[in-house]
Amino acid sequence: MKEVSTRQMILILILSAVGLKFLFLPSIVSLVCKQNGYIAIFVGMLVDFLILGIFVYLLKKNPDLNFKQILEQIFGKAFSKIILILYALLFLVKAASSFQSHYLFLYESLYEELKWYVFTFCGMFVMFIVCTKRLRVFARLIEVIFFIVLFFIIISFALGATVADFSEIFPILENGIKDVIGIKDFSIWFGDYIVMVILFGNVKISKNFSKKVFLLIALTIVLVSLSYMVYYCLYANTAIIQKNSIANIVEIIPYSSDFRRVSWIIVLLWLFALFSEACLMIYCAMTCMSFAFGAENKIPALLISFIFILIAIFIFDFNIAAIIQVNIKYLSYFAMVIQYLIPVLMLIFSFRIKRAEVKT
Amino acid sequence: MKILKRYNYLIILCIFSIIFFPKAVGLEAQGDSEAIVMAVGVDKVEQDFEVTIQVLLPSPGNQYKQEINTISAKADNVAEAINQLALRIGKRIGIAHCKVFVVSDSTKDENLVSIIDYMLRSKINTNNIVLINTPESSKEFLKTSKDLENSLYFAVNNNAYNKTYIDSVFISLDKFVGEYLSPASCSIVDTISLGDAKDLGVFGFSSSSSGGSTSSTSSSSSGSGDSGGGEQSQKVINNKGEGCIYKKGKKILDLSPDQTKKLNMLIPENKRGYLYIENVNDDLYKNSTVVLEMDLKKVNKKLSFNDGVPKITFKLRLFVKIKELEQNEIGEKQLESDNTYLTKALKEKTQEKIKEDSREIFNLIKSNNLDTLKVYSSFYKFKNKEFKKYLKTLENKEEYLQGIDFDVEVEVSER
Repeated sequence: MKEVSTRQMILILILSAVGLKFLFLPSIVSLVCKQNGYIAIFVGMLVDFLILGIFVYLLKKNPDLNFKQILEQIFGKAFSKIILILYALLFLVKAASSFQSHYLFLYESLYEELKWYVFTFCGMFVMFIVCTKRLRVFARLIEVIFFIVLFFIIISFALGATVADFSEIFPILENGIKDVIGIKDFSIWFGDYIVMVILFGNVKISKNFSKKVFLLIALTIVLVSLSYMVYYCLYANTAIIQKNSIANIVEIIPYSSDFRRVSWIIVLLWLFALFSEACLMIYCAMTCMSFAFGAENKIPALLISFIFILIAIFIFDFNIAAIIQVNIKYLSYFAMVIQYLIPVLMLIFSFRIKRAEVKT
Repeated sequence: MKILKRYNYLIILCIFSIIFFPKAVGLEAQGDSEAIVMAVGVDKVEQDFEVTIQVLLPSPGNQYKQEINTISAKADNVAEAINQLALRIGKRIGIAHCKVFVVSDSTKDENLVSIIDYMLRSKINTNNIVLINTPESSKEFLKTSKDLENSLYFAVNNNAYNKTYIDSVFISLDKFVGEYLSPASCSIVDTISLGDAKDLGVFGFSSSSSGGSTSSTSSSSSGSGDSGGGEQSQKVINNKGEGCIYKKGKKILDLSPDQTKKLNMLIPENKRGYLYIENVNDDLYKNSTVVLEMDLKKVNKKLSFNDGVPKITFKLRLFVKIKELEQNEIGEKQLESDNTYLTKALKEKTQEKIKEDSREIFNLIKSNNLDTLKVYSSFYKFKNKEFKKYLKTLENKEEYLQGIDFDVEVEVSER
């Protein structure tokens, strides 16, 4: 049974694309790409857009097959299992990163007294409730909060744009491609559309499906890049110290103090968005694990996910610098293989199979 | 399992209550564990840093005024001094509400960024903290400003409100760091000094009489005049519109109010203010001094290269209206508000004055090698290749301002 509408699918894709991009990423990208950070983000998201094209092609070609079935069709059973485990691992890394970022953001912006174990226990409990629901319920949850979050993101960046000095983006690509190539180290923050693994076989394909998906995702890419541009124009040389970018943007706007007081709304809504993303990643990891081991019951997979997050917490102790370093140094190539190479291989092999079918 | 599914939200609520309720009940008030710092001041005393904080120590029954205290501590660095202050007060030092950071001239040989580093690393919004320089000690400055009537916050808030005016300087810690990290590494910082209330003609500041405070008399008070009268000699905050220029984190040059105003004329952010045009003569004005109110100013920079020599032309467009006319005889013609007051002679005099002022500033920044007008950034952003070529021709790239031609064009329009 198809559980998700085209609209819900698009919202899930947008949420995963936006999720962690407005938290620590603008600040750390500024260190590598300086004022060209927004171009780097645009390039990164454009690559993701191409990968989305592959997924949409595969989805339309096999509307009734789930991800496991498509993989088995292309790579065979043994390889599929390995690929699914790798996907699950990547989702777990992203979920852990998202969960830890969520805690840090909450800790730094609203609640300094918050103990990590209280947050972890409560967070995991709510995650447990959310992730054991069916995909349809999860999609509805995202549908409910999505537009409120979107509204406040647009408002905060639009207001930021009123005081930003747009001359800060110059000179554009002073050293050519070198200025943006550094974005490859941040690949773990990209590859957002691999969340399609939970959507294969579950989407009701509507009229003009591809057109709707590509148009809205393209719009998201443009908006995210513009928001980055506003961010760099607002903070310029000090972007690196503005770790909580989304929350700080409202604080920098020199409007009345009454307006500043609503910054907590943006913080709160962003926390919802981050939490939804963490849940989404765990949901994807669970799905991949269930596919890989052929398990109907998703609870063991969910518990494994929680154990993974707990291990990550014990190792990194919510140290964002350490998390970023590991993500950049050790996981960027792993992420590139899973996010980009495998979908490309899927496309190539599916063409070969098609050609072989035609020949026979 | 069925019960778990049916009452899942109730169960969540119960679990949350079990976790949070005991903690919430036993939680001490934040005011008991944290001191609310309103302002921080730093002085250099011999080899040590003396950090002074203006802190709100809430105690029931007292009035707001009595709760502001200034406390100082000396240590090798700012963090250690703040730690000592925390020990003294018996509370954590909370700087989330800090609005002012004062540095005295005693720190002028130190890199200011390393002094404010403690603030930058705190998880607070340093964009809201105003940076002030004072020729006196920061300690004295904060002590003087602790009384509500004599409050630093009035001066600073006013300053924040007036940050678009040409006779004031406003810079936050974030902006200072941003400018420090820019290629020019130059910033203009507000200088506020203390003045004698009696000399300044400021009356009514009586720290010991108002509010019945017992502990708020500032240490800078001198003499023993009557309370509330003009006899008392007491220090007050005196913002004369002075400024100073920092380069690479160190204070290089003091600016007089006049220089600050002239410099601000060339800065786009400072859009408002008054212009005093003397000796205007034509049909309408007879040897007059005309006060013009400028409520909008646009500054564009035109960048060009002539035979490899960079030239920057500041194009100023001022929108003014007449605010006051000083003339021996004022007739109906001059009083008529609809009259076209911006005569050719007045326009020319205004242009002439601003050009002259600007030339003075160009000489000042050139002779001191202080790029407060962001000349480097402008060329680097918009004439990147040519400017790099120009820099290559220089023996000392730090002195890039010397070879740049400055010019100014002024257009004056009626508002």
